[in-house]
Order: sequence, then C-alpha cells, then structure tokens
Amino acid sequence: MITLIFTHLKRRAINYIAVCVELIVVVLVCNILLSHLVPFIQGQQLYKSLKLSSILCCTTSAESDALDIIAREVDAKILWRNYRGQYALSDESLFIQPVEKSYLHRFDLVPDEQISAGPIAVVASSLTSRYKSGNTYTVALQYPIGEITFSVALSTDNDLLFIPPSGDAALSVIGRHPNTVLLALDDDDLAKFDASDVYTLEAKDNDAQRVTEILSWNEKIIAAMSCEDAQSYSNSLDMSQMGMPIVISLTAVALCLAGMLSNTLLSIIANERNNAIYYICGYTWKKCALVQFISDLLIVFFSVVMAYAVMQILSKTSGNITFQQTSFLLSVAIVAVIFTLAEILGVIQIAKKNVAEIAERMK
Amino acid sequence: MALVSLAELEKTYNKGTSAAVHALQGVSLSIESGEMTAVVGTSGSGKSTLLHILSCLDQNFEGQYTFDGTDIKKLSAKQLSALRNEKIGIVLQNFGLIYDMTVFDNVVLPIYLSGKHYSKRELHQRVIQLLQELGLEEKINTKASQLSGGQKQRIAIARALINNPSLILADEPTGALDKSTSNDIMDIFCSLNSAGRTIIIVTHDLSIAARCSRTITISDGKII
Repeated sequence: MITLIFTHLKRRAINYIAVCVELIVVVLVCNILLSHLVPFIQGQQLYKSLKLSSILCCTTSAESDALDIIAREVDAKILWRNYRGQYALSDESLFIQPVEKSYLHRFDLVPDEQISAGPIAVVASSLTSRYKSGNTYTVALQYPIGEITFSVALSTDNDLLFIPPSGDAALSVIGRHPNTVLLALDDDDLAKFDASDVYTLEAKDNDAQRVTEILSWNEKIIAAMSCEDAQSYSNSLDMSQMGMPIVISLTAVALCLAGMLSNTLLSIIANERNNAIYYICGYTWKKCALVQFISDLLIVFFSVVMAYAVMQILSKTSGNITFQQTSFLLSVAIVAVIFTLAEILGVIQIAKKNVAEIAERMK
Repeated sequence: MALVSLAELEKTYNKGTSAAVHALQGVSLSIESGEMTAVVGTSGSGKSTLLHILSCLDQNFEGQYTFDGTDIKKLSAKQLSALRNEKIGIVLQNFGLIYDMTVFDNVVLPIYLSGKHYSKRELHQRVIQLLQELGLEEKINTKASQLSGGQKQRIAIARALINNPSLILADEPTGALDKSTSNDIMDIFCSLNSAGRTIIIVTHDLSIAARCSRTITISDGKII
C-alpha cells in the first residue's frame, strides 16, 4: 500500500502546487476580509457595552479646552480614534504604530537631522504637552513588547502620510488622529513588533475599540448623538467602505473554492479509473478508498506546509506582505471542509461501483 | 476436475423491474486446465457479462460458478479479490494500464496489491524475465503512455502473468489493434497456451476465435 500511495503522490505533484497557490490566495483574501470585519465586530461590541441610551460625542479636536467644554457641557463620553478605526475611551491611551525608520527618510516625512539613532517618534501636536520634541521617553507597551524608549523627532498638525512596512493599504493621518504615535524603528527593534498591528499603552489596552467615523468635517466640534444613531450612522459608513472589498474578496474566495473543487473532482475522476484497475488486479474497494484517502490527506498536508513555508518566506523577504495567523487557520479550515466533501464524494463514487461502471471506467 | 465450471448460470440486470434484461440464461460450461477457449458472440449477446462473472468481478448471479474447486458465491469480498489477484490474470481491450506509471510499475502492480514482500532484485528479475518473453525488456523504465498499442497490450499480458495465475481472461484483446499487431498478440496467447496456460478469450472476431482450440458461441444469453 505504501508503494501505491508513494506512486500516487508522485503522479499528483501538480496538485500540491495548485492547492498551495489556492490556499495562499484564500489566506490573502481572508486577511482583507478580517481587516474589515474585525473592527466592525469590535464596534458592534462596543455599542453593546455602551448601551443604546448613552450619548456619544464625536470630535476631531485634540485641544484640551475644546475637550473640557465637551465633557462639561455635553456630559458625553469622548472617544479617541486611530487611523485603523480603533477607539479608546480615555485621552491617556496612545496608539503606537511601528514603522520602519527608513520610510521616514525615503518619503521625506521627517528632516534628516531629526532622524537619530534608536527608536524615534512622530506625534500629533496635541500630544506635545506629554511628549516634547527632542526628549526621550520610556513607555510600557502591551504584552509581549514590554518597555520601549524613544526620542520624539517631530510633532505635527499636518497630515503625515506613510506606508506601513506591512504594506497595509491604509495611510496614516497622524494629524487627524491625535492619539497615534508613529514610532520609527531600526530593523532589530521592528522585529519585536507585528508590523501590521497597532499597540496601545498597557494600562489602557482594554479601551482600544472602534466606534464610528468622524462626524464633523472641518469644524473641531462636534456632534453629540445617541448611541443608537451613532451605531446606525457608523454601520452605514462601514457598509459603504466594506462593500466593494467584501464583494471582491468573496469573488476571489469563490473562484479559489471553485478551483479547489474542480481540482479535487478531476482527481476523483482520475482516481476512478485507477481504482477500477486496482480492483481488477485484485484489490478490494475498501483498500482502494483507503489509498485514495491517505494520498489525498498527504497532498493536502504537504500543500498546507508548502503554503505556510511560502507565506513565511514572502513575509520575511517582502516587508509589504503580512499574513495573519487567523487568516491562515481560517483558510486551512476551508480547505479541510473541501477535502472532507471531496472524500465523501469519492467514497460515494467507490460505493456506487458495479461491473458495468468498472468496465466504463477502463475506457 | 475442471478449472472453470458453470452450472445453470443466470444473470438479470434491473431484476424485478419492467426494464429487466436477461443477460445470461441457463449457461453451463466446463473448461479444463490447459484449454484455449474463445467466447464469441455479437454485441449484446452476453459475452462480456459472462467474462465479468468468470473474472470474479461480478458475484451477483444465480446458478453455480466453481473455480478450481471453489464455489465463488461463498467467497467474501476479500477472498474474491485475493483470488482475482493470485489465480486470474485479466487482459482488457483498452489495456487497463496506468499511463503515468512505468512499464515496471504497471507489471508489478498485482504484486504491490497483494501485499506480498519481494526484494527489489527478485521483482526486477521476475519482470525482466516476463518482458524478455514478450520482447519488451528494453522498455522496462518507459512510461506506459509512450508505448504503441501492441506494446501496451503486451505489457497488459505481462501484468496478467506476473502472479503466475491459473487462468488468463482476455476481453477483446485485439479490439484496439491493427491486423498485424493482433496476430502478434494472438501468437503470444498461443505460445502461452502451448506452455500449459488456460486462456479464455472473449471476441467477436471469428479469425481470432479460429486460433483457439475451442469456441463457445453465445447468443441472447445462451450458449448455442
């Protein structure tokens, strides 16, 4: 049986590559889907925790005077939002976005003389009361990073665009997201971070949530609205943003799934003929099914390993691609479901055998 | 004792329905060891059904089939597959080779399937010996897909012979071949029969049947 399985595997080398490519595509698509869905779900959870009767106050202002007025006059919760759509309920929370230091130089984001050795930070001018330009600070970040010391290179009120090393399509606009600190790191320090993530100060980590889109356009203040209205408004914004990526992603997933299924069905048809030959030469149908099952299982296993290895290599060699573990697991689960369906189909085909079919398969 | 003995064999497809087809009706025959028998008949006469039963692919029939003293109907699926593997060699019209396997792997397939363990050297010697007899030893490492029709059929014969079976069953073995190659293949069957092998050939070609020592004609599921 081992010889047969080995022969079977040698014959179907192309299947490894096909499943591997399809798996990588599904992982990438899941990455995109999750990046939209996770903040959305977190937002829904936050609304739930805030209760619908709460009044929310949304603002783009970072000025403490304006915020004091809001807190005093409106008696509402103030929510802080970073460029990834995460929110904090306290102005003491910081969103720390790691970025490769060379980007600052490459895109002329920070003057060269400000780019010193060690981690450097770019902060919104609203944070200058806490983080002064030229000074060095040590902050404790959430697990597993621990403490990190950085010097503040620049504070800015302007939109500061950068491309994160993860290749994330989003562009950070530090000026509009006053609690976000752009932390520029050398490669060694950057390795400690998952570049696609945003980190918050340890003590305030629980507050980082998404709630709504910015409601006022040019004014600093202000929209106070019920939580219910905010949720409805936020949902409509989310849907308008998520619609196209989700349609494209689902189409890509559907195409990949169709590819995987057709690949598997073709292999079932090829197996039918081989099984008929094995049967005629003295194998039982049960053993035919066993050879098929073990071979297919090994093909899926090797394909998953190959896909994982390729993704690791891509992540390491190209700073623009980051694969989330969840996406990978989700994709493997999809492959597992397809594999199970295919095997059930295969077994049904084998179980339906009769002499006329055997003869037909030999042609 | 006859190698193959059929008594009042009946086979009906779609039994119990209005579309019931009586493929074989009251077929009785006996084939001794060392015979070379042709089963001839027109398309739909029941000769393929008879071959399926003789080759133990179909156990669903009425009547009695005794192979080498064993009542086939009493065998389990596992015993039946072991019998097919060890005692019956089957040669098909469309060769039944696995085309992306080499000639060597195709020929030793029944040994792989039997689960018996032979050393590589033993296997190689056995295959080489068979291929030499069939004039194909130089093709041992060639992929089956790269062979001509006649060569494919000779490999199918080698595969049928690898376990030294008591009976060789051939279903239209020359059906996919030209006249000259058909004659070559029949020469091989005749020389195997001369060496004492029992061979049953199912064919509709009377010139092929003429080369066998016995001819059984089947029509409308009955031996005539």
